[in-house]
Amino acid sequence: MLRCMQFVELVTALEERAVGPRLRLELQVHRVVCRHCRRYLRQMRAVSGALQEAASGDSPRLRSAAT
Amino acid sequence: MRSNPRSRRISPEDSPDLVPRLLAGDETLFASLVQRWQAGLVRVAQAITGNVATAEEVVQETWASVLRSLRTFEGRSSFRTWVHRVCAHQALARSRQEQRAPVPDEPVVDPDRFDEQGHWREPPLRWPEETPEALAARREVMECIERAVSMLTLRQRVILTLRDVQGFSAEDACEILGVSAVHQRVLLHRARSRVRSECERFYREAA
Repeated sequence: MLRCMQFVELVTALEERAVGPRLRLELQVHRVVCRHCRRYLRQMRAVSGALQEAASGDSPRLRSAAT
Repeated sequence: MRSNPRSRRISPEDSPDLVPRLLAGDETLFASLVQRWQAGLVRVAQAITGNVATAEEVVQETWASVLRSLRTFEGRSSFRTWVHRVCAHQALARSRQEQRAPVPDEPVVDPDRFDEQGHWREPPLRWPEETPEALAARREVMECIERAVSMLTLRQRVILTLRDVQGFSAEDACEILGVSAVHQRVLLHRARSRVRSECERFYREAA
């Protein structure tokens, strides 16, 4: 059965839609019931998105540093 | 005026098209059922297994099983009853055979942060910034992220750069680095996990 320990190993596969329908369900259920794993997923997305943000020419980080 | 005030509110579980909607993939409805019934199901499972952690797993298993076998629901009992029956069956099966799923080696999160059941003992630290925009707006965090990226293995760094910085698709990244889809995913996973964990370390030290 799916544990947090496995969830953290499978988040990327989930994001990449590279898990079968059954496992996908289990992961989604786990996400609904486990706030810690929800946070883990949120942080993984944030890190990934931040890299993209910073790479885009008009970096918000520069704007905020100027204020 | 209605005599019974409770009848004013139609809860999702009373909806006559509940099962068809679930079959159609109504995730909002599903999530609301999970929220509504979760605690009760855990109690049932705990009563059978005698252990709250196992009970929680059983209930997760129950939800997956419910979704898989929705088509077999014949409506002889209420849906809620049926779900609880599935849960009880799962719990009974579990209490007979206490088994462990294999955990892949080289975990991306320190195993000490999980308990014997594989649940968080030391959960992810809450960050003041948890959106891409907010993270990117903090210079020290971005410096930390850049340092973390520089410490990755070559292939991890390349995949992370291709995917997250450059925005390439997985297929393109595979093509570019000449790796299989599975390998690409493993590299990306390790890279993101490593950077996340360095961010966490940053916030822990900053606290």
